[in-house]
This record gives sequence, structure tokens and C-alpha cells, in this order.
Amino acid sequence: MPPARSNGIVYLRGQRSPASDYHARRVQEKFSSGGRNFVGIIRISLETAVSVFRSMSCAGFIALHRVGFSAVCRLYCLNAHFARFIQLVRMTVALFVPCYLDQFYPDVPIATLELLERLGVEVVYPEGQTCCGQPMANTGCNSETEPVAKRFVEMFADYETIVCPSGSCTAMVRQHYGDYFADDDPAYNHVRDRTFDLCEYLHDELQVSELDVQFPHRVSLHKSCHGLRELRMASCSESMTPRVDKVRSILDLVGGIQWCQPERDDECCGFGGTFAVNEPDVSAAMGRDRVQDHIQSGSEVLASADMSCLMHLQGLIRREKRPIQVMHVAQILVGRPVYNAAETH
Amino acid sequence: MKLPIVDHPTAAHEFIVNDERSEWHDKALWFVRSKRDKQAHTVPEWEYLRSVASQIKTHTVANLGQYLAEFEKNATALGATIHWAADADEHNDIVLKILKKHGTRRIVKSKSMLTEECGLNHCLEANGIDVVDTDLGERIVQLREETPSHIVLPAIHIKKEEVGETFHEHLGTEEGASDPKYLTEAARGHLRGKFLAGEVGITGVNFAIAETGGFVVCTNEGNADLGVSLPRVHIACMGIEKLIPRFGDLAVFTRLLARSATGQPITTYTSHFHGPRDPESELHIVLVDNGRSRLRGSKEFRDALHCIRCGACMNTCPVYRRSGGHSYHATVPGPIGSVLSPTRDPKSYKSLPYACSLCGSCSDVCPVKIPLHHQLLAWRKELVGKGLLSFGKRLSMRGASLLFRYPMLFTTAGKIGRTGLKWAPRWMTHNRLNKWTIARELPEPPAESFREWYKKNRKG
Repeated sequence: MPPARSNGIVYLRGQRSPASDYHARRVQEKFSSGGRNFVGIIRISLETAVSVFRSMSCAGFIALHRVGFSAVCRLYCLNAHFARFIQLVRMTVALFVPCYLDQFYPDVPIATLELLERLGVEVVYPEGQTCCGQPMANTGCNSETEPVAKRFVEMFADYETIVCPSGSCTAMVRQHYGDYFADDDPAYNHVRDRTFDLCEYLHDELQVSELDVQFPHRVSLHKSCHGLRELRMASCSESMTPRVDKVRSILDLVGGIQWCQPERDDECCGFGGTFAVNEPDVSAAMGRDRVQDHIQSGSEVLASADMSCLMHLQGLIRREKRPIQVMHVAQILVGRPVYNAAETH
Repeated sequence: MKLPIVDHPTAAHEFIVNDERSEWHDKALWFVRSKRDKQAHTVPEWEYLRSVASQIKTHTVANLGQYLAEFEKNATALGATIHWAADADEHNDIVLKILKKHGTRRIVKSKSMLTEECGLNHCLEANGIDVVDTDLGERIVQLREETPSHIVLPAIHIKKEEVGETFHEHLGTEEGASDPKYLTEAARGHLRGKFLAGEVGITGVNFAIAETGGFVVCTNEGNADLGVSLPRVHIACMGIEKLIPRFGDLAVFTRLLARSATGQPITTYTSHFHGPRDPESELHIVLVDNGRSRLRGSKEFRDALHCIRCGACMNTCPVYRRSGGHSYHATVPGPIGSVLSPTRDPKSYKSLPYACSLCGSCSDVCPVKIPLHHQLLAWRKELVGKGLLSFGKRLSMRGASLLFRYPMLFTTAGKIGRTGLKWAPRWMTHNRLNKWTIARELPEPPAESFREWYKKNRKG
């Protein structure tokens, strides 16, 4: 059944709504079974004709939208396939910008946007987005997270692919949204299956094999926990299962990087969201140890795919005036100059 | 018994503020974790073994009643006496009764976290029975009148110089001695006397086997063996979840246990006990529930019953390594302790599930695949549901949720924050009231947010 709610969003032609997604699948099922069935073929042809007729009148379309969802659904049964085809061909990606990046580290999503555009991806930024809900969820406040999660899915359900320059926010959507939706909710399933961390997207979906970027600096990589242990973007030292290091693979396409290796490859930085203020002493001690480990490796740039870790480490670095700076992987991939990237704009 | 509320951050502060000690403790436990990694690498089927062990435990817990009955039947057939204890007090009463029946004045005990859980030592000492913990680490903490800080390495928080001081006071070793060999030799001599004088030997149980009615005790020191070889009476105390179905299942666990715990391929002694050793001896096995069947009833947390008490989660946990086991104020500390303790008393232990950055390393090292970091997150939801989250935190979460539901509010708040951060005097933004700024700088506020930039540079 298509979702019964009407959320007041006007679906323009060419865009897919969660309802049309369901309907597109149903049509597909009918097509595949109808091919063997004369009655099925007649039924599909009639439905298509009706929807084409209805789609001809613009005013009629608006009126139909107000009339009801099922009418709109039938309207798009033809458009849904076409729209999906267009989206796949043009590689339209919705940019999911974590709340703190939007407000405090805009250069990271700017760099992400520039990078994707250079790679020929059409990037859209759904402007109503705010947050994935992780701060509330990690505190255990499910009832406060639910409306935020629902809003997120509704906002992003229309897009073929969702890319986010943060492992922890991606992990939240992919692995912790289950509490707030029915298992067979099509919008939730779609958003969950098509949300990627930036490096995952570059490695798995775009399969980027070359980048025309130089970054002649000593770099060490901090492997953030969500990207590592939730999204499994690399092997981790305590697990015996070998995994491809997606972040490192992409960074290896950048020319001139001199890699430095800290002693503890994947120890947590100590940010942990609200952990940073709930357990301030432990959090700071963990962060200091990471910073020191990276410095002693000879690195000048502490890189990570997650700005939340870097925000915490940067706070310690600046307070204690340590001789290293942080940069997000996206910033390196577009060749931002060092001593500029630590700034936020 | 009402327990005081444990505030982990405050307790951790005491430990961490001593930089040098906290760093030493962290390095010592990281070293044990590295040894575990090396050993795990030598077993190509390591991850498969973990899966099998986890499945065996899931099956056992699901059929616990049946396996307990089978164990009782087979152990009794071998000549052992089975006792059932619903809780810690019953366990202590049962042990005390056996000791009183034999007129016991002195007992020797090898390491048993279960007896720690039940507070057996205090109970026996209150009844005039001398208790000697024969595991070296346990003996050290016993002499110092402390509790163990780690379930496998009880004295890991104590430096060898401090051991030297303790031994000088209690064992008459030279003042200022700190050579481990010298101190260990002194302890050996001292404990040998205790073994010879012990009238009853008490041990824990690492694995009890339903099929055979036997059980296994793993030690590196052989103290369990010596402790029960001389006395006529052996009392073995175990939690009911320590059961495994068949003898053939044992190897999965013995391959995982020592590697996970200390980075050894196997403990020096893996001793199998099948009934009393001769017709003149007695073997008593006390099976303890103490909240385990209640835990079994919880779908979210029942996997915590898989635990084989290896301590690998503690060795890997960055919070445990830096804050020390005592900061948890629980018999079992660290990640598994933070899951188990709130089941006993949610209010007292409500800060423990939050003493975690959710890094997930514990779940990866757990040999029986307990999803520890997911359970810690689930505990947070439980605690909020029980109304145990502080009002201030609840309020700030409601506020955050409101902001995130209305983009106008969110962007306005963001703009106010950025402007405030730019213009407000430092003492207003960076002060002791703002917990972030005690050790860190706040981020530099950017001139515009991403969405403002996007509107100017990309839209239209």
C-alpha cells in the first residue's frame, strides 16, 4: 500500500516520491508478470493510457494532487521509470551535510561538493535538512530522535543516492534508524540502502581510479570508529577479517602524500559525541594521546573522514599549541592548501 | 541492599589526574591487547571460532534448564554434590554450611569472580574463617585490603614498587624491593605454607560440561590445582551461564580464552575435574543464579550471558585503560561490567553505560561476540525510559530535537552561536562551566554557514 499520509510536498515532474517508488515497483512487477499474461498486458496498457491522459493537464495535475495520493501515484507510473533512468544517467546525488559541518566547518561540505562536481556528479543540496538525530539517539533519547529521523527520511527519500562527508552520520542512518520505522517501510529502506559516506561512494559507487590533485605533505590518517567499525571502511587491528581500506585507497590517488603511521592504528580519539562533555577527563586524555601519537609519527597533517573526531582533536591541538593541523579527507582530495584548511572557511 | 550511586566521571578523574599513572596503566593494558592481536593472527579461523563460540553459547542459554538438569545428573553420577543458589546470600550460606559441617577454620581460594560477586570473603571472615586468595594478583589486593581492578589481572593497577612495600609489611621481604622474581619467590614461599594449612579448597569454574558432569578450571599458576589437591573437600562455585553442552565444544572455548585474555595460546594449567578424586574426598558444586535467569529473559541483553570472563573487552577499552577498574565501583568493570551492573541496579550504575565513546572495539574483541557497544547504547535507552537521565540533559535533548525539526530555528540558533562565539569575550565562552572548554578550544566560527554559501554560490 502506498503511504497513507499526505505531507503537502508538491512532487514536481521528474522527481520520485516514496509513493511513486512503491508504485514503480508494482508496475515493474506487473510488467514482468503481464508479459506472460494477455489480461495483464491489457490492464497495464489501460493504466498507462489513463495516466498519460491525466498528466497532460497541468491544472488537472494540481487538482489531482489535492484530490489524493493514489491519483498522483497513477500519474507517475510512467514518469517514475523515466525519472529514475535520468537520475542514474546523470548521477544525481543529494548532499547530506551534518549539522555541525553546516554551521561550523562549511569548507568540508564545500570541498565535498566541488569534488563531486569535478567528478561529473550532479549534486543537489536539499535545503530543509538539519541533522540525522545522532546526538539524541546516542544519549538514549529515542522519543526525541524519532521526529528528526522521520523528517530526514522524508526529505531524502526522493533521491537516488545520498552522500555524506561523515562516517558517523552515515552509520546513524544506515544502522540505527531501524528503531523508528517499520521493517518494510519503502522510504526508510531506500534511504538506508542508498546513503553513503563520501569515501565509500567514491570507492564503491563511482569507483574513482584517478584524481588530478597534488598534496605534497606528511599526512597521517585517523581512522574514525564509526567509519571503521560500523561502516567497515577498512580493516581494524583487533579484527582478523581483512577489508579494503576505502579512505586510504582514495587518498592514494592524490600525488605527493608522504604517509606517516601512528603507533596505534585505530584507537578511538575520545570524542564520542556527548561523551566529550559527560566524561571530559577521559575524552581529553584519549584525544591528547592520539595527537601525540600522530605528532611523533612525523606527520604535519592529521587527516580523517570524520570531522567530528577532528573537531575534538583540533580543540586540543589549538589549546595546547601542538605542531600539527587537522584536515578532512574531502579537503585533501580537492587540494586545499595546508595552514588554510584548519580554518573553517 | 541499597548501593551508592556510582559517578564514573568523578571516579575516573581521581585516576586520570595522575597523568603518569594513568599513562602507565594504559600502556600496560594496551600491551596485553597487542599480545592478544598477535595470537589471534596465528589462528586463521579466528573469526569463525568466535562465531561458533557465540552460537554454542546462544544455544546453551536458550536451553539452559535442560543443560543444567543434564549437568546435575551427570555430576551427581560421578559423586559430586550439586547445590543450587538463587542469589548471593544463598550461595554464601551454602558454602558456610559446608565449611561449618567440617569444622573448617582456614580455606584457600583460587580466583573466582563469582565469589567476588557474592562477597564470599567478607561472609566467611565474619564467621571466623581465614580466607587466603591464592592467585598472586588476588593475594596482593587481599593483603592491601583492596578489590580487584580487572577480572583476569586483579593487581594490574599496582606497580611493582608498591607490591614490594606490601610484601615488606606482610611477608617480611626487604624494604624497597621491587624485583618481580624476588617478590614472586617470596609470595610462593608464603603461599606454600597457606596451601599446606588449608583445610578446604574453593575454586571457580571456567567451563562446566553438561554431557560429562565435569568442569574445567584454567590458571597460569596452578594455584587451583594445588589448592584442591591437598584438602579433602573441594567447593567449586559457578554462575549458571558457565555451562557448555558437550565435551567436544570445550576446545572452541579453550582456544579462545587464553588468547583473548592474556595473549597466550593456552593457560599453563587447564584442569579437568570429574567428581571427587577418591572415596574419602568431597566435591561440592554450587550453581548460582543471582540475576542470571532474569538477564536471560531480556531479549536485548541476554547475549551478555555468553561472557566467559576473559577481560579482552577491558584490555581494549580506551576508557577502562585510562580510568582504571576501580572507577566503575563494580565487581566486574569495563564494557561487560557496564552492561551487567545496571541489570543488578540501574540507578546506582546509571553512569556506566555512558562511560563509553561507542568506539565498538570491545564488540570486535569479544570471543563470544557479545554486541557490547550496541548493548551499552541500548542501556542508555533503558535508563532514559526509566527516567534516570538527569533533568538538564533531558532538557537539552528536547531543545536539540526542537531545533532539528525546524530549519528556521536551527539556522537562527546556528547564526546566534557563530556570532556569539565571534564577538563574546573569552571568559564567556571558555570557562569551567562549559565542559568542552576545560581542555579544548571551541571551533573558530566561520563567516557563513554552508547553506548560506550554497545560496550565494550554487543556487539559481
